[in-house]
Amino acid sequence: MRCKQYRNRLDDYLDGDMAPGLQTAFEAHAEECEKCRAAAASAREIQKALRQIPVPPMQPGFASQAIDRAIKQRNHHRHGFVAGFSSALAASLVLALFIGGLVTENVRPTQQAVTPVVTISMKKPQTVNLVFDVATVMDNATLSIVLPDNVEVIGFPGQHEISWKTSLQAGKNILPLPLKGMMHSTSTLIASVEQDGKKKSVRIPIRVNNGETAPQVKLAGTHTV
Amino acid sequence: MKISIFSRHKNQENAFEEMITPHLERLYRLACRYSGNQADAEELIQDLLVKLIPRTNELRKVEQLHPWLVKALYRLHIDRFRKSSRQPVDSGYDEQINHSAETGSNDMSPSRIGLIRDLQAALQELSEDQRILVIMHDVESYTLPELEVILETPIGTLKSRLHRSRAKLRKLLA
Repeated sequence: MRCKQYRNRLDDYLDGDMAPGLQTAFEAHAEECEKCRAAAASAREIQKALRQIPVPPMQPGFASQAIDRAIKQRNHHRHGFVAGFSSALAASLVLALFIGGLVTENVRPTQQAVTPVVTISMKKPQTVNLVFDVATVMDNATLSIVLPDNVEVIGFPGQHEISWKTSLQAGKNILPLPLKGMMHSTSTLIASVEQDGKKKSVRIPIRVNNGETAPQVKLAGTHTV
Repeated sequence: MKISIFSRHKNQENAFEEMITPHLERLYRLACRYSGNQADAEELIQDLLVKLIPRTNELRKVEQLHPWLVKALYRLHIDRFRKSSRQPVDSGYDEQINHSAETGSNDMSPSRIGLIRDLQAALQELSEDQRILVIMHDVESYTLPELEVILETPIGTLKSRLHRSRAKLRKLLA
């Protein structure tokens, strides 16, 4: 092995990334060549020193404070959205979703009523109140909202699926859903409730247009989930 | 009863804290290495958290969270670096070096301390790509396969970049 080859292979040797056959020739060259041996020793010293470059420790409390600040900043941003939305709120729709038989196996047949189309104007955000009507308390239920491309939930920009755990009381549980039209089209929003591996969903057609929406339309009883 | 979609945020916040906290110490170390001083490192970490918190659901689905977070930190640093066109400030961390020397916990002979100081200066002479690679591989001990994912660069390219970076460091220190 020549000195140039030795120097070119030095990194592989230091990283333990050299084929055994080559390593023998490499080490044999170092035995014979004082300059290459010195170069290897110097390179090894640099590698050791690199690993010893100090770094200051994280300040006590920085981690939790940084997370808190990030949460506050996000919430501030979200509240800004909602405040702006509330002043623009013109009307509200109510969709009642009866959750029958989710907890037990005794699921009553889903009555596929004619699903009303919810119309959202591109001009004004609008709240759709989803009413989850349940027979008994549902602790630790997972609510999911899958959004079509033509709407967004205000405060959740760019998110097409929002799910979270909550408890539902016996009777009517109202979920105000602040929706904003994103493009002119008709598509379907899916609201689901899941508990203990059992899931019920309802599909709600959403039309986004340029026009006015009917105020305070109550569509209670049109869905059985 | 009224339920709120925003109650989801509380669950999200708890989940976010649980997922992120175990990785923060190492991310902070990297941020210090990238930016060269504590104030910028803290700002970098803060920006990272602000960007990640709305993506909590996405984080839940990530199988290998640490490399994912390191990649996010690296991208954020590179974005900031390009926008500001500033060089990392070399804080020197002299107090740290002196402290290590006094405690004698490491092999901190005067010649080693001198070499570390020279190395810190020499690292500033590398291009940002080279500096980051040396920091992550030789200082923080990330492997090349890990760095292939984090830096989104083929191993062959990383190897030759590392080779050139080390050669330059040796030349600067000669």
